[in-house]
Amino acid sequence: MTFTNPVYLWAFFSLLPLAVIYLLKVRPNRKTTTAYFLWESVLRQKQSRRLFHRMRDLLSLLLMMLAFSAVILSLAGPQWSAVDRKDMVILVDNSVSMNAKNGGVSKLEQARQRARNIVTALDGRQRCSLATVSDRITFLSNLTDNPRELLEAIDRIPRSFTSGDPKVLESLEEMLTSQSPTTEPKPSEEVPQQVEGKNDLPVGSSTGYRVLVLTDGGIQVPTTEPTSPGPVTPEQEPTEVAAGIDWEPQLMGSGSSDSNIGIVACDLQHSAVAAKQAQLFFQLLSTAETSLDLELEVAFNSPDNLVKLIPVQVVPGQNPPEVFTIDEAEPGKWFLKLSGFPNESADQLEDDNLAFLYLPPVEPIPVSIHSQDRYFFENSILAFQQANDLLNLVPADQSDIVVCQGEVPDNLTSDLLIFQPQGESKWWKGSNETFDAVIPRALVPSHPIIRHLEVASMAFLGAQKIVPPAGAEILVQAEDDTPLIFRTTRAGQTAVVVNLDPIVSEFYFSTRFPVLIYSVAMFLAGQDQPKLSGYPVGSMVPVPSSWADREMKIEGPDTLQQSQSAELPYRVTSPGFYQFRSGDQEQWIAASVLSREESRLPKVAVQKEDDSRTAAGWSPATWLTTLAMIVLVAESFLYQRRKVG
Amino acid sequence: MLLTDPQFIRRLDSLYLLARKVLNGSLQADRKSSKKGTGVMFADYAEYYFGADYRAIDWRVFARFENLVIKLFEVEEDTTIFVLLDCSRSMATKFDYARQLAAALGYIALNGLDRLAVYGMGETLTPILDRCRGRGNAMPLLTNLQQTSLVEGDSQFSECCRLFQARHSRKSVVILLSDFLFPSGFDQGLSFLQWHKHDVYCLQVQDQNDTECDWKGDIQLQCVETGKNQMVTVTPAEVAQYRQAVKDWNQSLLSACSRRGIGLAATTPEIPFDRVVQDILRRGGLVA
Repeated sequence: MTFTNPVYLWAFFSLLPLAVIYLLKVRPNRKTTTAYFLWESVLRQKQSRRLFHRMRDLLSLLLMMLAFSAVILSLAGPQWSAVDRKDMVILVDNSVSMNAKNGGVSKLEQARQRARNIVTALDGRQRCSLATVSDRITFLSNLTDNPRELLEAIDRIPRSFTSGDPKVLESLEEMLTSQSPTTEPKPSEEVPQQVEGKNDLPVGSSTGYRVLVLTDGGIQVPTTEPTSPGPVTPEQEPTEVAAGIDWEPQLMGSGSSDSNIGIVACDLQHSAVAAKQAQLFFQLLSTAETSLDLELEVAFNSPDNLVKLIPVQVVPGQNPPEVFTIDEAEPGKWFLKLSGFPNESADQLEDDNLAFLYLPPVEPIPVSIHSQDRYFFENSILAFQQANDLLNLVPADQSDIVVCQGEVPDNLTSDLLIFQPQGESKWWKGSNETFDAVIPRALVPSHPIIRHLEVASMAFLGAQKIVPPAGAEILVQAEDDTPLIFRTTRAGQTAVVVNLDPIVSEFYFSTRFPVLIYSVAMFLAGQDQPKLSGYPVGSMVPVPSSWADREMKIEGPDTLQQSQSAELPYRVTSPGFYQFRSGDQEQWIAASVLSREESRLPKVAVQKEDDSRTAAGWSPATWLTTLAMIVLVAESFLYQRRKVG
Repeated sequence: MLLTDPQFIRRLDSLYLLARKVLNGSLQADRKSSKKGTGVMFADYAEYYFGADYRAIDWRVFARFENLVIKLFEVEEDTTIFVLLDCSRSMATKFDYARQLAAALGYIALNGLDRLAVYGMGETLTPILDRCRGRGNAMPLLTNLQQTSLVEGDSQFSECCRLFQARHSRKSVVILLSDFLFPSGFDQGLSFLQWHKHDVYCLQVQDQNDTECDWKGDIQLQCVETGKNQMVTVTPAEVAQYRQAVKDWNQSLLSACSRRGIGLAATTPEIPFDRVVQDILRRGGLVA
């Protein structure tokens, strides 16, 4: 045991005057009585307490000396061992596998309690910071020695549904290393994107950092030899450790044989062969040692509206994927739920038993044609119309998209695909001078309009020397910077201009022609991004490219409504359904846990406590202060007995 | 207030006048006796027997019934009243009050032409006023009582009563003035007093110091008579037990007096002494 302030131990000399005071104690008041013999009869009944009565003064002295000693030792700041005084960072793994219940209590709650004990043991003598870690690190408190602030931060640790990224700690290591006194601190914009929150750990920590990771093993902790006491799971491979950082894993869980079964993959798509039919794909994973017969409930619109009940035999390990056909499948919200578990221990994690899927409605994109030469355009659109109703050729007043050629009248209000621009238009400026662009250059090759076109091998013959309006997005341009394909938006109307003569360029006979028609139609309809019926929580959901430059509103299970620029993909953080709205258009997204690593639940070895390195619970000073208070209460009781009976 | 104070004596006179009124007549030799003899108050008839006083034969009865009967008269005799005053140190707080009561009773006795003797009780029996008679001895009574002080040592009630029994064999009236807190008990003493058929009356004087306890916590408890002491922690439980012990002790005194036909009255210094005497007179004496 060591002492933080050993100078206080000199206060033990104060016990001497204390003893003297007690030994020179004033005798009690003398009272005369006329019925002494009656008092004797009364006191005769209490003979058994005479010994305690005689020893009481000595007992009081001993109690007071004990209380004084406890206070002195408390002031001296005892520590059970030479505790490492490095600044500490407590990382609490809050990935979805930490929601698994172990003995009725989730591992996350166990980690919270463990963090509370550690913070309590710090006793305000060591700086500490708290962060959560899953697929990213989120700081919940600054580096502080205020236990209350840390305890409040622990209470704020959220339950997360995202999967843990085994390599996520590397980003923290990178940040801590950059803030060590031996290196130049990085500017804030260089802080790794996986670290968010209050990432203002102070620069200049002379002793480096000690990082405690409270995890179930799903996070790979860099090992620090030889001081690292915690067991490392077999799948963890020691990584190179930055100097000055002590990594210390603290594994949560009892190592019990409880198993977990969950849905790790699922999808629901319209059948390609029959109308109003959908194909359900799912895959299960089991950590049980034996096969189990369960049921998969398929529900529509609400989890209680059961549509189909699929009996499944779940074998240990990752099960082969299965596909079922659902007749009369309506577009909308679909639910998959695993049920029929024989007991609670068969399934530790509930979050992966329910999956959310969204089956989008089949809505052909209405397209009309404004051209003197309609033949190729019509046949192209009709081809897509016959294949799964992707496009629908309609009159001009009913269309969302108008395919134009040549001059474009100003009274068209739909989005436009314009071939061979001619004359004056609000969509471009320029003369009637034509030229042949034989070496086109794709400026945005990954743009959904041109990503399937192989623009470099196209010839833009008969192109016009035009100038796009300000703000236009030029996708392909000629060597003299003349735009060949560009997109521009004006008053909510979008136009895509393809600057070539289709006949001269023999574009109608090229396979790129229907590809371009389809790509532009899907882009203008906001369906250019491939959509899954369900996304794993934590993934970035693509937003329709045509929503760029717009504000979109998002309503999800974890947030009522929030606004975000549609330029960025959106990260879903909770299982459930998200609604994206931008103007009149809306889009639904379903998110589920769907993580093989999390459903597998990292196998945890029973952790051996190492009290010499990580103290937990109340500090010795707190215990001593408590002891002093108890002793003083006992002494005050004796004093009360002496003075007022 | 001094016992010889005129104001106090006036209160004694008032008591005496009340006594005359209550007892209805002269107090001279008017104490009734169970003996039959030559008094003036007719008591009964009896058959003539040889040697009977001829003067007692009721000739009118003989003339009518030709039987000799004699008239019997109640003997009216004076008696001696002994007042035994507890002078032990346990009476310290109520000694003045006890002396006032003794003075009142003695004053009435002397004015009633009874013989009066006053003794103090301590470790032994100490005379305060020798046997005397007549109103002229009232002032010596008061003076001697005034000069009487508490005696040292433990009170020996039984020993005092034994001495009294040895000295006074003629039947008389004995009035005990004490708190009756005798460590050795009072049974034996009362037995001694009743040995010669004395009419014994007990007047118990106790104050709050005797019956109550308002101490708390650690105290050094000391006996007021013997000086014995010990450390005591007084809690409400001890206080309750002490009260119960006093109550039991007084109850045992009452039981003993009732069993022996001894009159008993209990009073406290808070009650004026003359009111106590008035109550006694109105009740016709100390009732057992």
